[in-house]
Amino acid sequence: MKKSQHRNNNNIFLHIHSDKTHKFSLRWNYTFGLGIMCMGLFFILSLSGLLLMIYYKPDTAKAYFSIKDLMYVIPSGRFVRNIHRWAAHLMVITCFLHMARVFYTSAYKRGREFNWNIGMVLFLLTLGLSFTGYLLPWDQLAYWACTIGVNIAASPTQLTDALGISAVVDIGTQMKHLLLGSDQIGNDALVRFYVLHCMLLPFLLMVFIGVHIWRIRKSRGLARPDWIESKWADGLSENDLVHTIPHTFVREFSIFMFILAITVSLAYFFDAPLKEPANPLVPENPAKAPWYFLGIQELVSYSGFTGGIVIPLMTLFGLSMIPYIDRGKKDFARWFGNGAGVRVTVTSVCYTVICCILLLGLSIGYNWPGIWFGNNRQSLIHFINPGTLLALMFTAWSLFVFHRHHSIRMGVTALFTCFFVGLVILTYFAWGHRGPNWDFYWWPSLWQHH
Amino acid sequence: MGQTGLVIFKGAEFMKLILCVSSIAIILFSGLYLYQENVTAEWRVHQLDYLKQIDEIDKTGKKHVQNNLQASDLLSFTIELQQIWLPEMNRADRCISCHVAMEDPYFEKFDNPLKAHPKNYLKTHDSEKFGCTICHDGQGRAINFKDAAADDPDVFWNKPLLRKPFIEANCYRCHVDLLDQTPDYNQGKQKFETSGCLGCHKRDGKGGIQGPEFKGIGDASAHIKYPEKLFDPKIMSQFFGNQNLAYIYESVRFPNAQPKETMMFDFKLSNEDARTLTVYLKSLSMHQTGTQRLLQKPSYPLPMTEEGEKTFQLYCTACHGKNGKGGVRNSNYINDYIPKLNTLSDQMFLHKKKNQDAVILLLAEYGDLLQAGSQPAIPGFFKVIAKYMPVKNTIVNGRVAEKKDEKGPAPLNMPVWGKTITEEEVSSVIAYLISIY
Repeated sequence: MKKSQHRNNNNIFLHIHSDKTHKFSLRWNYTFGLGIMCMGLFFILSLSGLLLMIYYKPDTAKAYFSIKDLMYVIPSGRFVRNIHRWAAHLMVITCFLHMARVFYTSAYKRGREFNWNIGMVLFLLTLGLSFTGYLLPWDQLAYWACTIGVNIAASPTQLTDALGISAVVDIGTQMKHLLLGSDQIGNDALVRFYVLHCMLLPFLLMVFIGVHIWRIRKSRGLARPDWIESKWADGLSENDLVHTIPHTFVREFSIFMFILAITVSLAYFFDAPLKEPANPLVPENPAKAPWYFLGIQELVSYSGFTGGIVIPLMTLFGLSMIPYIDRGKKDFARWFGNGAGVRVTVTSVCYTVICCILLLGLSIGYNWPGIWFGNNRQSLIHFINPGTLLALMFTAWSLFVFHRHHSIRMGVTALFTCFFVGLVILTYFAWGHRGPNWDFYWWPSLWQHH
Repeated sequence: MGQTGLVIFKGAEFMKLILCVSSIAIILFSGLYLYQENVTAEWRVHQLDYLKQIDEIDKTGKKHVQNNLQASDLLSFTIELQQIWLPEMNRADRCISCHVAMEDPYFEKFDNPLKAHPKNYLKTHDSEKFGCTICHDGQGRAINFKDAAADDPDVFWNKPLLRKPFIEANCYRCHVDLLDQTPDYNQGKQKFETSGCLGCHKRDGKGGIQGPEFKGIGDASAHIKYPEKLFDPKIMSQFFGNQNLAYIYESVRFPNAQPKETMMFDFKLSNEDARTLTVYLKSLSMHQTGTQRLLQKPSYPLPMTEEGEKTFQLYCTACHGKNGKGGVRNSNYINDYIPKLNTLSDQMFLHKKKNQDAVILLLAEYGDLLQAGSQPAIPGFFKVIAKYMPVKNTIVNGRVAEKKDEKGPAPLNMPVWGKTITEEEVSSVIAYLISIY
């Protein structure tokens, strides 16, 4: 026994995990393995990305054709590219779901507050990686999606313009120049995106994954509910511990294989898109941002500054503040805490759906608020538009829930659910129901040309 | 405790099931992909078929007639992707991966893709030097037919494969003089240059400004230029789904299809005329080969009236009618019709053939009648000059058409031609108009 333990301690993986794991942490329906999926996808992306890098040429004259050659003649090139594309989409989704899982199980408490914020950084890095990768094929889709994304980043200019201080302080344009190295997307931007995508961001992501996991280890593994923790304190839970090798590793490996199987199946059936070569003179109509920014693009269609900068930044700030606002010790590591948690979540979902349908319907059916303000009071639209009203309604709802239940946790749950579901609805709406000139359509097949 | 153990036990089984199913899925789909790429690829099947055909010839003992290929070439034929790589044209044409028998005359009667290239074009156009897509368009890098032809919009390729007769347009990427092999193009060009299209549109920087320029119309992007949805599918089918061709055809034959309120006249063109014009317009591409274009025949100056006729047909026919006989409506113009010009001699008091010829000679000699001085041989020459001056002024500086109804829409004006055509051309047009009385 002693001998084997000594051998185990030399195993690098047993410095990442402790050599014994609590059975509770292995319940599949507690974590759904989402964190491991994120990491697994990062591993798949690194490997497939490395293979793609061998053939990719970051030069506007060659990039597109290097991708065409990948798709047609490089052995397994199409497959590797498809895997990379699908893994990237899946990684954004799993990061999103992983965050929701941690939130709804209150697993950000008791010394894990900082790690929640590390997770936020990882989420942003994932979005950044996905976005920088989007431009590299240099086709119409890439070019115009990135143009939209960059314009969102440049939208503080709208505020400085309105204040008349753009000549002195023009943060929007400076951000755009920093990102593109030029006024519009060209070779400089492509090289910058390439360096960010293949070097800087993956490096940062690896570092922060390291910190993220190290913090979990320092917090004695995954969050466990009180009834287990108290037993632990009494020294009764020794029986609930299992050896990490093989029990934990088999599960982690299974989850990795599961997500790999999903990726490979999607890659087999659906090719990654590649449109015509990028043409700065011929815009795509509609020009849509990558799907994970579509919710933001919908808000931007009302107001560039509030939709593109204020609301997303406030949402991020609010998210990172969650563990410091909700300092209660209850409901730790339990899905939705108790019955009230489920009820609040469900009612919040319904409330959000109603709010979104109401405001989207108003803005489409009655061209509100554009028609309301006319031309001379356009600046008001930055403050009163469907985006700000939704944010306001969500906040009001969460305050109402907070007073009703006298619980910060419930208020925060309501707010998180509202923003989460709201983002999903807006993203879906912009993806499925926005056509040329950002007009409303019931379905893309109804898009009128011209 | 027991309960926890049970959950763990179930979880472990569940995980093993996931591991098993996932592994099978990964192996299955990777295997299927590799199988499709390496065994059943379209080009591989065609090359196998080619080898089989050759084997059969050898078995029957017939002598395999080969012009370009040596017997050793066939013995060393290995199944592999092939391409023609033309770096200076940024082209990699992989068409020959399937069309392996392209230069083998034995395969003359076979079906595509195992068909020899028809006629003797490859003798004069070395495929190693020109590749395929420089003439045929299509996506040369693709290695399956759907993507190579790019007829479907979901292939996202700007230049779909061109079929007869539209492929004629690409001959004029290099050639300048008319070729016998391109009857549709020749007819279209003839129609174009005798219908006064340049009265409103610019070609090579010359022409009117009422309509859009023809610059790069052969490259029009399918993103912004495509025909209306209600387009007759019978007509549409002749373009094999090529949006660019259909768009050109539609704008020529049905000018008011898009936009509805167009200034362009409906010339009531037949399907054939519209088709040949489409072939010609398709050749107006910005995508040149980058090499010197092939001008072979020397050009000779024409007699003045013929030069004038050519210029008139190029710029004026659309509005002033064929041979200047008028009859074209100009809505809200005070006279309703655009003036006819075949009575110019009458207005210039040149009723006799002798006097007309004399004035034409003067125009040819001096370029401008004002330079000719007094001409006692021509009776009433001052009256001729008096009419000549406003006519020339109208051509060079244009004229604003008077409205019939002040509040109505603006009628078509006579454009300013002084900046587009030379003074000699103006004189030759006047000479031509004098001659047709």
